[in-house]
Amino acid sequence: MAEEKSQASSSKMLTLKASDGVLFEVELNIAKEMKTVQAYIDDCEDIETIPIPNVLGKHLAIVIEYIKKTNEEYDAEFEKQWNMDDLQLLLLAANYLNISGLQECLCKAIAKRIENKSPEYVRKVFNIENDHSPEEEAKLRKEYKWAFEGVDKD
Amino acid sequence: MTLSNKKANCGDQIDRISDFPSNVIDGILEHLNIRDRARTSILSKKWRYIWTSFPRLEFDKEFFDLYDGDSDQEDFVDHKPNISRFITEVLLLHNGPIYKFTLFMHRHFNIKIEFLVKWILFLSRKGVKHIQLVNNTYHSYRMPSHLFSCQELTHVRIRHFNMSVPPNFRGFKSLLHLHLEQIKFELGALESLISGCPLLEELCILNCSGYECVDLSASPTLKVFHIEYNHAIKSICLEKANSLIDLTLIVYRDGVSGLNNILPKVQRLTMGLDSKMLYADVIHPTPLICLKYLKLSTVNLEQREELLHIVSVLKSASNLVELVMETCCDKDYKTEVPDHAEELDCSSYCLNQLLTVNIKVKTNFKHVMSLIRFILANSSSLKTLTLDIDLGYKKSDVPILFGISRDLLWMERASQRAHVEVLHQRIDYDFKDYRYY
Repeated sequence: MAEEKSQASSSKMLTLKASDGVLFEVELNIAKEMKTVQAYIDDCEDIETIPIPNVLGKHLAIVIEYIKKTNEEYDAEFEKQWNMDDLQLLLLAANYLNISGLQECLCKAIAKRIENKSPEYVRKVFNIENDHSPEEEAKLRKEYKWAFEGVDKD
Repeated sequence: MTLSNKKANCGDQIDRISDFPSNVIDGILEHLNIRDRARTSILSKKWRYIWTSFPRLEFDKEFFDLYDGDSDQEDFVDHKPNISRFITEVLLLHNGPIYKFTLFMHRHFNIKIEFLVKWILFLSRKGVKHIQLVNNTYHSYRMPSHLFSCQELTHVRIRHFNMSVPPNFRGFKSLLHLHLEQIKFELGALESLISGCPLLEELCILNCSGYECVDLSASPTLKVFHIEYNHAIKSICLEKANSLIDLTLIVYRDGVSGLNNILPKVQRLTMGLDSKMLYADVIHPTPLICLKYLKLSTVNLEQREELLHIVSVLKSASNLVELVMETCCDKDYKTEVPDHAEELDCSSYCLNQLLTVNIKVKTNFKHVMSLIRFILANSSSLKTLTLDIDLGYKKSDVPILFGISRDLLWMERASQRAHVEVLHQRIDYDFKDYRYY
């Protein structure tokens, strides 16, 4: 993928405007990796600044960096750097911008962090409030007892 | 994104994930196994049924391994007798279509055929597209006929079943990949199956029985064909397989036809020959410009004719990137082993794209050395050449290996960065690799 990017037929630049007003100048072929942006360009050809209302400047910067650099090694190291909050926001950004490679990488990263963990651990990681009563929870645990054994200790 | 303070657990941490769009949650669930997904049902009321609409169900080897524990272990509860019931419950809970279903029938678990039949019937009503059924037990099962009602199938992989095709089978109109391993077919079943799949792109028939003919003219879209067999075959007809780019044929014998028609387009070729056959009789001279990967086993280099033919095949494969060869020796054939190695043309300017070579030899290696000299002298891009020698159990190995390595060192190389390695395996209890550089 890196080779394709260096052979850009047009070095036309585009400006992307994040939700907090931060501006990013990117090459057209980088911007096109975001299918949402591509659709925008297809609709209005002469546009120079594209608003990205759902994504903070901080996260858009990371996304653009990812697109420029992505390869297997980069992916493996990439996901280690971010906390769960950032991972989630980056995933939402990748989903909105429709970048399937980044989406896959982030989903894998999030899944890896909750693999074989207890529900208590997962709730903490995602800040999910447990609205089950103790009886309801016990009933569910019994129903899926095959799923609850051998889980990592918290 | 909603910021709901009522959901805050501690401080200003918010629960975003419960409001994620379902396609994003599915993206995360995709990388979790079925147990992890089942446990999400307990996270909160909102999460109770999220996992039940995830369209893939995989009961793979790892799933069963978890329950294959020791009764001596602490906290061990034996779930083996209940496994089929758990799987049935998961299926019944499922909401929406199921696109992918994987079942690995583990040796230590007894899954009754009645359950399998009901599961496949259930799946046939859920629009299943990918099915993988691997029977790893010691006895073969009869493939439930409900499989043939799964009209939306695109990928099928099955291993170790007895199979017959029902008379009302209307074909798998969308099937792209068909992978059959250790299947015992009833007469005519394989032929009906193949001819019922007009869009087939990949077909693997590995160690199956009960069929005599394979005709690929019914599969004009076929790109990949792998067949491995050991029994008597009447015919394997490759002639009309015009889209074929990847072919594995183990083995080529009388009855196979059309190979040379399709070779010019093939990119990956793996072949073995029936005993006493030579590649000189099987592969006709023709430019093999599409060929990138070539693996030939049962190459009898003791015969000069064969050696020269292999060289001409390599010369015609100008885009070859990887070469693997396994030689054999013909013990019955009385051949005069020449004192000197065959002189081959080492300035043909061919094999320019060749990067990797792996040659496995038994006993007679004189002609192999000629071949290697030819390869080293011509392949200007070569990265690695590995010579794997199996001399059998002999005490005189070391001086021979030393001689080989010395000869290899002296050979002229077209590629400055070529790395040549010699591996030696003994038929011993000590399995050692001796490497000489």
